[in-house]
Amino acid sequence: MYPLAVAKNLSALLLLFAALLCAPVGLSVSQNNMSALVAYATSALITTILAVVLGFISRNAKPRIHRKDALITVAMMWLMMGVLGGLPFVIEGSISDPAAALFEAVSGFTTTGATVVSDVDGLSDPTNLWRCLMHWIGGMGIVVLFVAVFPQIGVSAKQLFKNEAAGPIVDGFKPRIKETAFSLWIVYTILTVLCAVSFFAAGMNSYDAVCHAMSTLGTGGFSTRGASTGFYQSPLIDWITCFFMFVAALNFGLFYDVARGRWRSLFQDKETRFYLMINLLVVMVVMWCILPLHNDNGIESLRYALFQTLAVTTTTGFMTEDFDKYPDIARYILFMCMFMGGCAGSTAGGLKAIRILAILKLIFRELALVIQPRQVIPVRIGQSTFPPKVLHAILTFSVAFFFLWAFASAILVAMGMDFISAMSATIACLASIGPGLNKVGPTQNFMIVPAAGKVLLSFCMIAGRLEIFALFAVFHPQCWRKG
Amino acid sequence: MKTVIIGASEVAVILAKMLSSNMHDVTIIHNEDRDLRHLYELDLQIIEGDATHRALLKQAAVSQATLVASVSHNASYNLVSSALASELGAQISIAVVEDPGFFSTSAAVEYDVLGVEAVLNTARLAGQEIMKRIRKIDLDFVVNLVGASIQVLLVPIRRLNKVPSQAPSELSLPHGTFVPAVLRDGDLIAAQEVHSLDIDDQLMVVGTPALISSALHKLGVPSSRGRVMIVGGSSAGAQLARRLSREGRRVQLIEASERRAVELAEDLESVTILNADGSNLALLEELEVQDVEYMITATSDDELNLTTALMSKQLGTMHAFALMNRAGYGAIYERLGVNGVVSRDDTLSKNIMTIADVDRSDENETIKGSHHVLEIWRAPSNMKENFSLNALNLPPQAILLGIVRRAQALQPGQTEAIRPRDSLVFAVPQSQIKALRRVLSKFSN
Repeated sequence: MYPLAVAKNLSALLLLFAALLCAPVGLSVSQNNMSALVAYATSALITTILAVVLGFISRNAKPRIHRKDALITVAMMWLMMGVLGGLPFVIEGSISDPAAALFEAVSGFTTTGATVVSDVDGLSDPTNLWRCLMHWIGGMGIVVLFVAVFPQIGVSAKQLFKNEAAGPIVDGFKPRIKETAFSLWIVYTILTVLCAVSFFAAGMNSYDAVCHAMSTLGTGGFSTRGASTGFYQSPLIDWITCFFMFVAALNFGLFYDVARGRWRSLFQDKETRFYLMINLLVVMVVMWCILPLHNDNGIESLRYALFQTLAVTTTTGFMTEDFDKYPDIARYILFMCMFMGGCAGSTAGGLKAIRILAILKLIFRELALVIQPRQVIPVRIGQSTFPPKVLHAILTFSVAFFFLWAFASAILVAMGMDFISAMSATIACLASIGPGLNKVGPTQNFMIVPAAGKVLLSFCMIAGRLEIFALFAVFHPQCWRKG
Repeated sequence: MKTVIIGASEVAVILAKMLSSNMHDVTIIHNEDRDLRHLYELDLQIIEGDATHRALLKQAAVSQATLVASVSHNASYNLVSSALASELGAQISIAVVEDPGFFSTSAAVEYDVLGVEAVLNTARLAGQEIMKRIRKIDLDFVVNLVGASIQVLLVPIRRLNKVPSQAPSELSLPHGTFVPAVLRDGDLIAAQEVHSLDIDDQLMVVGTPALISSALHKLGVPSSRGRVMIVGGSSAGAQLARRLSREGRRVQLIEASERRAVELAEDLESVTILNADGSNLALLEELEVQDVEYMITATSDDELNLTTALMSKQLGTMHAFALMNRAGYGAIYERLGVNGVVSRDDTLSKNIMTIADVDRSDENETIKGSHHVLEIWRAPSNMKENFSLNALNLPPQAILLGIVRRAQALQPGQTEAIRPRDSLVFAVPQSQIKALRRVLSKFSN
């Protein structure tokens, strides 16, 4: 490990982070909001000082980093983002408890959207902007942004990128990593602008439209309103949100293909098809379950079922209705969907549809092998065959995901939370969904979780966002040993 | 006529024997550690050395050669030596390349690559041959012509699901396949002259072999959905598996090497791949081989192929075919009960002979049920200019069935001008062959 190289990269990343903090600073100035100005300007200043100090220490270091350094850089950056991102909340006083502020910031950057704030409407505009901006940046990843905008990092880019991009494979993108990162951000930005314009046209004010668009495309879930999207009671806004939530949960590589005129790849992609099929199935079941709640009005039930389902399966976590009040079968199915999440290469969290598909195929293969053990059956998804190494990684990741979920839930139960709240809170954080069930349900918030629990859940959120191994590898002694 | 054979493979020996018995002046150039002295009795010249050395090629007088065939086991060597021979003035150069990855299409022969007249793939040629044999089980008349680039077969209307209502020339068939003639009461009639079809007629279908099965499907020939088992995942085995599974059959392929089995499983999506020893009796019984319609053995081991084919036949498989490397054992095993034994070396050398226009005895087949025979004429490579089909004054009852241009089958109406190296396939009454040859000789030079 080369600590100076890590410091050098962290310094650049922190400068980028400080630049992002300028957005709420600007809004505070234009709104003459002194307390917000002090909070965000101070945080930006502290971040800059930290960056300068790190930069000074590592002034002679080569920026080139290796695998271990990349792992440490990405993990450290995500931990620092939680601390520094939560700082303005504490200074401003909107969330005075440091553990809660950390939780809120991590929830923002990991696009979880779980909040500890009971009165969202009471938050200042700069704070709400910051919450949604965190989603937007975290969705595609600050490191990916860093790779895209900083020209000098060259070879280190690949190491860094690998650790933050979500899913087992990023399809569609093959050429150089820097171009990939850049096009990802371009596609992401265009989609966000489209979403914001649509919201505005549908009747939101410009501030809400921008914040909601950032939150939607990042599949985050923070809203500027306490009642989330439900505040507007507008079918049009619901449909638009549904559309963009779904788009954000698809593989961004496919949009890149579409932009280059290859429309077909979007419809031919096996993961997309599988994901669409699961969603249709779940929407139908949920819709059927909630028909009585909506006076047997099919269109209304569809609207609410679709919204709540997509909010969960895309790991966004908006709401227009309290799904915790749905019949148990609908609640259970939505709970199960939390594990899957979106597609690989999207901003959504969870195990990812392609992993579930691969595991299903593995199960069928195992079945066929019981009958005819000599058969050779490759696990094929679309045109490509998964090599045994990738399948092994998929299985290991999935098992680790479940273990982490079970373990973290157990600790929360030990801290005095009930079964359902603890289990749903953990998966809601691990898969970056946001709201869970029962005491952490859609209309509740995470304030009831004890401080230590909040730190644990923050850890789960980062683990889920960095796909577990990229984070846990940092705790492996070999990562810090020489050679 | 002078022929130069490059390489000392089994095929080189077969070719040398066939050609020298055809009164050819044969020269073999080889640098392999193989004793070819027994060939001296054939009165041929043997030069030891590297055929990529131009001085050596000049010494062998390739500039006067009608045919240079590079048939060693090394593909690059074959390509380079035959390309050099072309450059030095050899009339026809042929190279054998076994790696299917070299080919840009799925055809067994590709023309005009790197200055080489024809590049051949043995496995594919052998595969085509087996496919032909399989088709021959259902149809009386099936032949592959011009390096298996074109297939001619007769389909009795009686076998179709229903009699087509349109005239045969208006039948819609996949591109690259067509119906140029109809056999009626022992007479072959050009399709344009037939206005409606009768239940006793037979359609003559002509086209690229790979497309024939979809043409038959389109015509309404009921296709068998019987199970196919292939033992051995060699290049030929894999190609057969692909072709047969495309016809909608259930294909199982048994391959002994685990690595190759994995490769095949990734490559052949709709084929069931088993990693096992296909010659194992217990396995064949477990796989219920008695219900298999076609068993094809295509491993690299000749003995294994023959015994497995015989064994499965004994167990009740309907038809068994064996693919062999060596030539000459076919007849014995066919008498023992194997339905077809195809030798790679044999198929390759026969195809080299027909492509080079040295010996077409194999292709001058009588069309079953008629007094017509097939006749192939190849436009010379040094033809002065393209000539029009209209200039061809065919004798009565002679029919132009199709044209082969660079391994593609063309319908006579599709092209007007005949180019150098095009092959024209005719059906002609026995009595008119001489008249046809006279007509064609005008264009020969």
